[in-house]
Amino acid sequence: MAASSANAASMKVIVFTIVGGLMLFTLPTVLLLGIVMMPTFAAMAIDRRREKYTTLCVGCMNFVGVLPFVAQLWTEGHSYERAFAIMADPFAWLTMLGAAGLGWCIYLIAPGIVSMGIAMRIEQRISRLRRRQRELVEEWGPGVAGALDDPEKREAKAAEDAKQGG
Amino acid sequence: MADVVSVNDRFDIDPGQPLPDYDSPTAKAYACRDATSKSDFLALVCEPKYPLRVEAINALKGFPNHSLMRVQDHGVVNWTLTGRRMPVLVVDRPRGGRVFKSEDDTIEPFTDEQLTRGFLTPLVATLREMSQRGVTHRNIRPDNLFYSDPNRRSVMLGECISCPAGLFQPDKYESLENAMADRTARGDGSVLDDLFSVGATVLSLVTGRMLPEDPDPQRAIFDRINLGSYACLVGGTRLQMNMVELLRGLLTDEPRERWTIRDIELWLGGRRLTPKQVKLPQKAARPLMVGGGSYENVRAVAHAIGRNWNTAAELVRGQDFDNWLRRSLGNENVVEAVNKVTGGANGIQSAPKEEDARLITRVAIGLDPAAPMRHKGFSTHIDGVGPTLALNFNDDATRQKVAAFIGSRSVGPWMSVQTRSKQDLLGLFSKFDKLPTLLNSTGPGYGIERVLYELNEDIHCMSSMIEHLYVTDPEEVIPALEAVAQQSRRPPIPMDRHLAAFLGARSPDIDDRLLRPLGNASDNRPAIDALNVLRLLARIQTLSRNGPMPGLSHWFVELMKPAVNAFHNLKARAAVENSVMKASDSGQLGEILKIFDDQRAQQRDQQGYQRAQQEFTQCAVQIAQMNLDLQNKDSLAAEVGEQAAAVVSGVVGSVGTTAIVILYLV
Repeated sequence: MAASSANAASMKVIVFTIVGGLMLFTLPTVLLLGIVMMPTFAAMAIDRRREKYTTLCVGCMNFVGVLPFVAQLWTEGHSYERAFAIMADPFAWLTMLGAAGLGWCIYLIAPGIVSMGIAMRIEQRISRLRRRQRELVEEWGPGVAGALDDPEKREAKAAEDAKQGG
Repeated sequence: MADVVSVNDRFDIDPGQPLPDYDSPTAKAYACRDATSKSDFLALVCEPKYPLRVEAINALKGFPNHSLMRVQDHGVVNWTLTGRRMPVLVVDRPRGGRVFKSEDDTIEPFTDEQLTRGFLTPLVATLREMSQRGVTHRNIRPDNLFYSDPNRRSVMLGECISCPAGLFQPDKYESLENAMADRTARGDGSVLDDLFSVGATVLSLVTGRMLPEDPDPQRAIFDRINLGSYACLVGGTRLQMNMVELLRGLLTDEPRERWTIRDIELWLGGRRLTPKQVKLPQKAARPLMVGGGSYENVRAVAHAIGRNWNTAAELVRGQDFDNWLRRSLGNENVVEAVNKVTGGANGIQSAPKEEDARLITRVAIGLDPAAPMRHKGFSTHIDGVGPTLALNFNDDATRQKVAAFIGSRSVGPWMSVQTRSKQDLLGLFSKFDKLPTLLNSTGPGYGIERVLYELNEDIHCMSSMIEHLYVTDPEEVIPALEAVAQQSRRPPIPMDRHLAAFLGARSPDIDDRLLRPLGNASDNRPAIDALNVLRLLARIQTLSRNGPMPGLSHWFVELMKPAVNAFHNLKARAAVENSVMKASDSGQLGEILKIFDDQRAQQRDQQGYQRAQQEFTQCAVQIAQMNLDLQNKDSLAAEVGEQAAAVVSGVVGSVGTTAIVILYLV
């Protein structure tokens, strides 16, 4: 137990060292991502669920929106100037924040769609069960439902039905 | 002439021509004519409540002698005057009138010639013929004699078959043994009883008046016991010596001493003997006090303790009675008989207090075996129990006393002290032996009603449904019920205690298996009562083969509706309804029974119904659960929706990333 926690701690140190080293060599990219991934950070801040579905939803879409500009940064010199130029481009902001917004949309719309699906499925099953109950009543009479188990009541019901029929 | 009523398509009765001179106490006389020979007869339309002596009717068929009102035929007719079916006897029509028109009537005393040639000579031939046929008349009295010819030279006996034997005989015309019995319980008796009646009737004919009724009948019986019937009946009447001989011979109380038919024939032939002295009963050395009275002979004591049954037990258990019996009476035969029926002094002492009535009955039997059996005030000969019950069945007191008598099982002890041939008593004994079991069963088909029909083999069924139809044979039951079914107001079900008991007693094919279920209250299946009745009547219909009965079948279709509705499966129910209607149209109850007797089909239906109920309930539970899910769908969808959104975003992100990488970096 103690050994495994020690391993985890050492692993964390290694990962932070590598990531920290990489960030030192890619500071324009880190600057760009740090600013344009703000919607994801905001989602992360308000996401109380352990599974972090909101973060995932918004993050994925936000990242897809940012990735073309990161690629542009890398292919055009990977400099602070280029990074600021991208951040000064409104189209770039529209793309990046639009993608994050799409993530939010997916997150907000999906439960409604799922709810509709569940309701449809339940209603189908209920209607199947009700059909089966009708078949049972048609075959065995209303007494099968329990309420009219008494033959006298059944006769009275039959008489009432006949009267209505007449 | 009113519409004639035909008896067996041979005799035509004219209801508009009553003949009151020929009425019997239980029957009205009407003119009747043989449709083939055009001879005139009498039709006696009988009161249905009085049992006919059918056995005697059958035995007297083809009777050759003309000195008896012979039965030509008998049957049951629809009698419009009473609006019901009535039993009818077609009998000979006397050519002269009645000898005594009423009990108070007086006539010119018969001369010796009239008595011997006109009465005794034909009478002896009649009694001999009846004796050979094993029938007793038991209705010989002056007001039941008719002149058989217009010249009034010859006298014939009236009918003897329209009511139980001896029912309307005044006590004085009955032998002492019969006079001691209740009037309804005198039984058929023997020819010796008829000969006693002949003696009393001769006395009336020679005096020209009927013997007067005693104001105190019980006092008169004790007088006859103590002084002899001859002395009591003749009293101070002056008689010719030859008549004294005849009357002493006929009116003696000791049956073995009484004149026989042969003795009368010899007397008619001219034999003259010194008149016998009346043999009085043996007196005990000292009298015995019973119920406040003092009695000197054994028959008087037996009669007294029988009448004082509720107080006599103390006396019988006491030493005084034992001393009187063994020492004062001096008759070893009586001591032996009492010991035989009671088990001796030890038997008397050890008898439980609650069986006092039974003890008294047995002691009385032991003291006087020839007398009627006496139990709790009911005094009866063995073949008188049935008529008593039949005549007074609707009287609670009669039913109770007959039930108590049967429950006392007195017939066995009585048989053990009889001097009569055992053979003719065995049939009666076996019948009485099974009665307590039948009486103690309370269901329909048993009880006092069953006793009624077991003891009266020829009475009609007294069921209130069909009593007016005078049904005497199980074969007539189904047509009678068909007539009931056709009525607008019919009873709830075509069965009652009388009908069940009648069928149980009269039909050997109706046994416990069919009767016991009628009273089974624990079976609560729908229409089970109707089904049990249907089973019984279907059996009767099969046995009697009297054709289809559509009215009765439709009645059962209505009664069986609950059983049809008990079929839960609607298709099966419709099929059963269809089958029942077809079966009902056939008029055969057996066809209807077949449908409802298929218990496996009913079991299958019941099992299927239970399964369907379970399935219906499961469906309802599932629907309820799903309705709950429907109400909570948003909370269910929230987690799943977020998950789905994450998946969609992840997939879109992955695809987008891959595409961008390929586009920009490759």
